[in-house]
Amino acid sequence: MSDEPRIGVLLCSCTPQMRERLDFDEITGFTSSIESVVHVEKHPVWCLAPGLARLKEIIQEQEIDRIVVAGCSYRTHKQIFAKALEESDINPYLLEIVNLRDQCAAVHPEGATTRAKDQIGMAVARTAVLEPLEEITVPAEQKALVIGGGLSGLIAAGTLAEADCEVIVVEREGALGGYFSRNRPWRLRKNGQEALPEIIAGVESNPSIEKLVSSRVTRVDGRPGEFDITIQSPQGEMHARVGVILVATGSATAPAEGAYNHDGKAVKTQEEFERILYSDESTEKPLSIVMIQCVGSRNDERPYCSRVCCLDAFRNATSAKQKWPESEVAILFRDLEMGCLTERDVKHAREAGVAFHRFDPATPPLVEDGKVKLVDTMTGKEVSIPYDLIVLSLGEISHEGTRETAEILKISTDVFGFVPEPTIRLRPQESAGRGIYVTGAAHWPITPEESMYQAFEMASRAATDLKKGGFSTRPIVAFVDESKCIGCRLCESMCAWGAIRVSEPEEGNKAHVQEILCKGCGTCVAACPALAIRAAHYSDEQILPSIKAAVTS
Amino acid sequence: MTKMVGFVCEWGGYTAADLAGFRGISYPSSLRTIRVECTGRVDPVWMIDAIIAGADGVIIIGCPEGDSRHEIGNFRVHERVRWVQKGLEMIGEEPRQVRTLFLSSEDAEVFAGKIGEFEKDLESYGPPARDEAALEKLRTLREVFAEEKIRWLIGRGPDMAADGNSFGEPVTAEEYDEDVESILKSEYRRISILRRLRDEARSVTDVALQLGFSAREVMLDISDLIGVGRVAIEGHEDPPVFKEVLM
Repeated sequence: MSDEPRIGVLLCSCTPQMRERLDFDEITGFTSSIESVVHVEKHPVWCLAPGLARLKEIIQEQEIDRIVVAGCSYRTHKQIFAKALEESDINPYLLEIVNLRDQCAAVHPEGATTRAKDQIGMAVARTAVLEPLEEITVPAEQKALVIGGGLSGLIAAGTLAEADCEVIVVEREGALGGYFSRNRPWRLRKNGQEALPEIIAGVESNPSIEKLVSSRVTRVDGRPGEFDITIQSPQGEMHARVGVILVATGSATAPAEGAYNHDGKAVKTQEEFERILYSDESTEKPLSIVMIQCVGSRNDERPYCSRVCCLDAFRNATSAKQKWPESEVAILFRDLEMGCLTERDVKHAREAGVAFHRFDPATPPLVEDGKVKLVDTMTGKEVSIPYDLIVLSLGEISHEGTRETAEILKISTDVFGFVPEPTIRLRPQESAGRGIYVTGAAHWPITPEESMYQAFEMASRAATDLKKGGFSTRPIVAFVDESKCIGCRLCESMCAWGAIRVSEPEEGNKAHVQEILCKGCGTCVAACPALAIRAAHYSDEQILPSIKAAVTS
Repeated sequence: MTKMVGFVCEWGGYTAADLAGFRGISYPSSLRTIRVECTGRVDPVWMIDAIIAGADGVIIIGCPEGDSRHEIGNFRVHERVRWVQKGLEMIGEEPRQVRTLFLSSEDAEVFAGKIGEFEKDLESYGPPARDEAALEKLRTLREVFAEEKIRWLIGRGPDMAADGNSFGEPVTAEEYDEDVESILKSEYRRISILRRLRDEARSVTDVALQLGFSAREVMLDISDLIGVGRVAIEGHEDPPVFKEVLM
């Protein structure tokens, strides 16, 4: 093949509008006159089998080494033609697509041909200087790190071990089991309470899971597939290399902060109440229990619903009625958020005789003279309930471990410190960053059941990525010319993906791109003060010819 | 005919344009689109390059604020456009010939409407002067936006209000704008001088006369440029002449 580019231009005319509004003779004439174009051909449908077969023929006949397709959208058709090029031993990045259908014929009753000619000219000018690119692949260490040894983390660790991965579980507290084991086993259903010790024991006895309690991950370097982690454990600082990281750091119940004169005695939190309710030793026997929902929650400061506290209140109220049948139990609520699979809990609470009163957030329940007073918005009447125990439902906040971990891993949190899924409606359960997977209540307050589903799902995603042997990305990434880099660190602040880092002064003070993390957006390229960064496939040299061709005709 | 160059991101602008076609919503055929991965890739130099090449208007079409596929790319380009507009205004050009449009990929109507509006606006500004003097100004401005100092300031800008300057002192948005505007002016003067010394060695008075600056300003700039190794004394005759050092 010669050094001069030999471009083939494929003109497509599949819609009536294209045939009507585009003058293909004029377009063909114009395109043929461009220097690097060796062949122009019109076909009714290039993207179907006969068209693609013809493409392969003309690549052979005309010794074409790159193509411009003028037909449909780049978004929908680049894969089809890239594949066809690969089958003809041409690099799939030596391809440009002009959208004649949606961006010329369909939108311009007049002037479609002129625009089509220009857009083809621009594409040809760019294609002549495109470079072949190869997919970037990096190997993965067949080992996983699970941060957090609670319900979600333990299930994830067990699932990964079952898939033949080595696992390290790092737990900040002194024992595995997490929140449900330590503070609130009663939040689990009965079968869950029985299963948790088994899950813990299963991980404890599994030889392919390394357990580090009273430990914290303090630093993470490297890239997906090869994360170098530093762990602070009671035995001192430890280092390990893992391929993937699962974050299962959970959430925490918000503190009472003195709401309703909380004292832990006559005014308790649900957690404190559970300790007397489910204990055989406690001698406390409250006769009138009033539960208040949404305390310190769903306000300006913390506007979200924690979704689990209504369920707690229902179950605890039902249990209280069962334990102390002569006592009165009332739940004062704003809205009931019960999630799925909870109809049974509602039914049980009603059958047990729990009273419900709804209040307006503008006029929350007041405590006066041994009574809880409110206006029930369901009846419009004032209600006054004598009490000997008030129980507060406080809502959930992000765990400090989640916030710390997110900072170390450089994954973004929302303003409340949770790590939500990037696009929850379109890509639920997508990982927070390549090689990093978030599971359980670190995302958002969720029920234990949901937490378990997520743990299984994220562990299998992580295992799938590991078993593929490595991570790969398309080669549209940024490159740093070190001889030009001045180490100003502007690129670091520009990168939303943490893909570009400047080394320390003693290591040269130069920017480096972690290609596997780079999404190729080019924000650092256009910002670089020293013009030291180049964007593959969208370099200045590959865009400027298009700019010139856009206005010359 | 008016010529508009549109830099469209694959996720917002390009997709909205596709949808306009799918729904058959027409807009002026004088638009020429250039697809990029993210509008964050759009260099201020490209915007001026398009004008120099002959575009009447440049429009950068990306994802809506806070919802960029690449998180912050559109926010960065917005800041660049703001300074390119200030630069254009400084050299007597219509600043609104460069603008941004942030829309969601489903906003095909907005896309078509705004392109129509842009064409009308450009027509109302009248044909731009593209004589040699105007082009020389644009070329100088292009070089200014390829310079380290201005690029650093534009890039740092949005963060400077939060983090303070290099000394940790807080900088308000007004102070920042005032500073960058004055630096933009002085950089423009430096580059104008440098361009005069590119092909031919000239004396301070010669440059000052050609550019309409005071000899004192030119002398100070030339000594600065000598200091950073970008200009050298070419001849010691009276008056001495200077020439750009090609890197």
